[in-house]
Amino acid sequence: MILRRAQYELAGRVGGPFLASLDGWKRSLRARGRTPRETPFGPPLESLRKLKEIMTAHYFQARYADGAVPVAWVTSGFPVEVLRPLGFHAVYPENHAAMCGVQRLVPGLSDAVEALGYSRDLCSYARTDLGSVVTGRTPVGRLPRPDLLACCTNICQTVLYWYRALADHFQVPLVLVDTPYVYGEAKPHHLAYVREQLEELVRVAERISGRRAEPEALAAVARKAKEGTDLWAECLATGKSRPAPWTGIDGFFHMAPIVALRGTDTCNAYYRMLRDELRDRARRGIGGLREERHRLLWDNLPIWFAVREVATLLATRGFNFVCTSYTNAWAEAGSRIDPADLIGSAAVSYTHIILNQDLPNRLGILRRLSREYGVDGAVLHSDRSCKPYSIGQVDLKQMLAAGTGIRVLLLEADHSDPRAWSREQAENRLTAFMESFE
Amino acid sequence: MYLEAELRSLVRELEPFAGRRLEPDRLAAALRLHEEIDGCRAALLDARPRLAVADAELYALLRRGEWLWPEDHLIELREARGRWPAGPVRPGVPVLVSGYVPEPPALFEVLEGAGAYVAADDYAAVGRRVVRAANPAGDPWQALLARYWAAPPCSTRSADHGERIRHLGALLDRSGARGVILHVLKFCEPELFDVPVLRRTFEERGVPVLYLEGELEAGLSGQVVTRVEAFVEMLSAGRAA
Repeated sequence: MILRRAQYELAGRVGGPFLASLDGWKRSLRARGRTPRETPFGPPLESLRKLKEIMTAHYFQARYADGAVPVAWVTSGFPVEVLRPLGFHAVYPENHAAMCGVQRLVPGLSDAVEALGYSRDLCSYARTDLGSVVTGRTPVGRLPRPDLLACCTNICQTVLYWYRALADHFQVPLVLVDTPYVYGEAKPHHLAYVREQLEELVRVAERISGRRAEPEALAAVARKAKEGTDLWAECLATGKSRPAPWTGIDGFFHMAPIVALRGTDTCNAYYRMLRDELRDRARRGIGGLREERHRLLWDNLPIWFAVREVATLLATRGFNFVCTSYTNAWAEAGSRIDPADLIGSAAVSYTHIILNQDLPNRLGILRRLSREYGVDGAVLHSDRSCKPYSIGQVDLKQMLAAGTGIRVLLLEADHSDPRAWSREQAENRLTAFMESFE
Repeated sequence: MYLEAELRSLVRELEPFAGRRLEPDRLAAALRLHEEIDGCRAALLDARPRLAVADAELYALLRRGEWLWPEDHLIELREARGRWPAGPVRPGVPVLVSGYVPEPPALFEVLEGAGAYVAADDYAAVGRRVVRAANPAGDPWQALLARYWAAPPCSTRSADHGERIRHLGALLDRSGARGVILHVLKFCEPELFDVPVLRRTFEERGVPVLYLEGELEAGLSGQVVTRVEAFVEMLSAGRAA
């Protein structure tokens, strides 16, 4: 146990950063002597190196987490602030599945679980994660075995079925935080229901970790989570500058710490650094694109396996995604957290996640982002895997276009399964969309 | 209790539309009515192997309960029980069907044409809506909640896998079904996520399983017809899957 704990700490403090440096060194070596490619994008963010370092360290440390510290596998919308003071190492299967998506590993992992009877119509994150569990294949070397599975239905009901399958596989406790869908504002009995579940979560997590959730520790993590959320919001807000100092695509990658490390000093230090860099770029007029001619909003998850491809196609004609509803969700998730009452405020905050609210709320967010970021158009990704995000988009498209006068395109794809993606068709649609601006 | 609070909140919102309050005696009367309806539905479902009625016709009757006034549906059910008395066990291969909704009806015609019939039903829209427990006496709100919890285990209410397997096992044993058809709808995640564990469980018990995936609007493809016929042929021959 002591040795394992030492390995875990060393992996996070030394091994991970070393691996990241090694990777960076290899990349720069490979790049040396190579003629720089013509690119429509602005200079890369300096912070990217740090991002790689902390995420590499996070996943490298995870390899040694089981047996060293309690491990929880959690959904992206789970109130992880409750688990951190108890020493849990949090693993985010969605974040891991996104990495598999970027590296185009999904078809192989999905095939493995389709052979067991899982339908290809199920969420590709779920198929990827379950495929990784049954095959042991992962781009991060190894995922630690969980002691606790923790899922919150504020992002979808799918996570409940997915985590039940994980619970069957690992034979470990599953804690569910069920959040009633919100029409307008949550009612008092909704919040009381969520609060009760969070209180039960504390009891279960205390039992598994063998530690007490001290109020001061909970408050400290809540403060950090709130600060992290605010810092992330400040990073995103720099996109209001003209030109935007980065692209929405950058945002998809830089959101990893607010998802996976929310409530930690590492997360907040990173976003202070990123915010300062973005503000500096904005001041100096350095854009995410070399030439920003049109500003777009992106709705829904990214198409992880084609994210660069889509962004490049658009960027070559000066179209930049300056804001996305997806990255914005992480700037709002923790904004209602109150360190003086973590449990009560987490109940409010995590019940009012964008995907747990009605269409008028979604429309309000899209309209506000369109206005505040001064966009000329929007691309709504109809994501085959993410039904809650995609349902209602046809209506949203019409209402957004009618209410703001911007051009809106509905693009069909999947967030990580390339088998549900037609490149030529998408290119044609995006090209026609861009031509409509001329 | 969250569920009670949610139901009471729903009623408060509905009352202005209805123009009247939901008095406890009216709720109690509605519960009695549905208890009787479920009793009739349960009797029909339990007697299926002995009823001289086509599966498609029985499903049409049971599904009319989704939109008829309950009082009218009850009359239909009573008449059906008189019209279709239980007789000898019908010839053919008994199967258990589990899924969301018994659509399209042509599936049951194909099944019967191939020499099989539905001996046990576990459709979310049919069998899983039949509450077999009697309403508890006392507060009708509590009885309403008890009815909800007493319904058969259903994926759409996140039923425990073990509970579902036990329920399906009991249906299989009681009906004498020789095979299981998992008839699911595309994109219906609650059902689709249960498929692997159900398939594995039945196959471990040596019960052949046919997995059919369809869409509400679509008819039966030739491929599905062939698969159903081959499945029934296999069951008729008594071969293992």
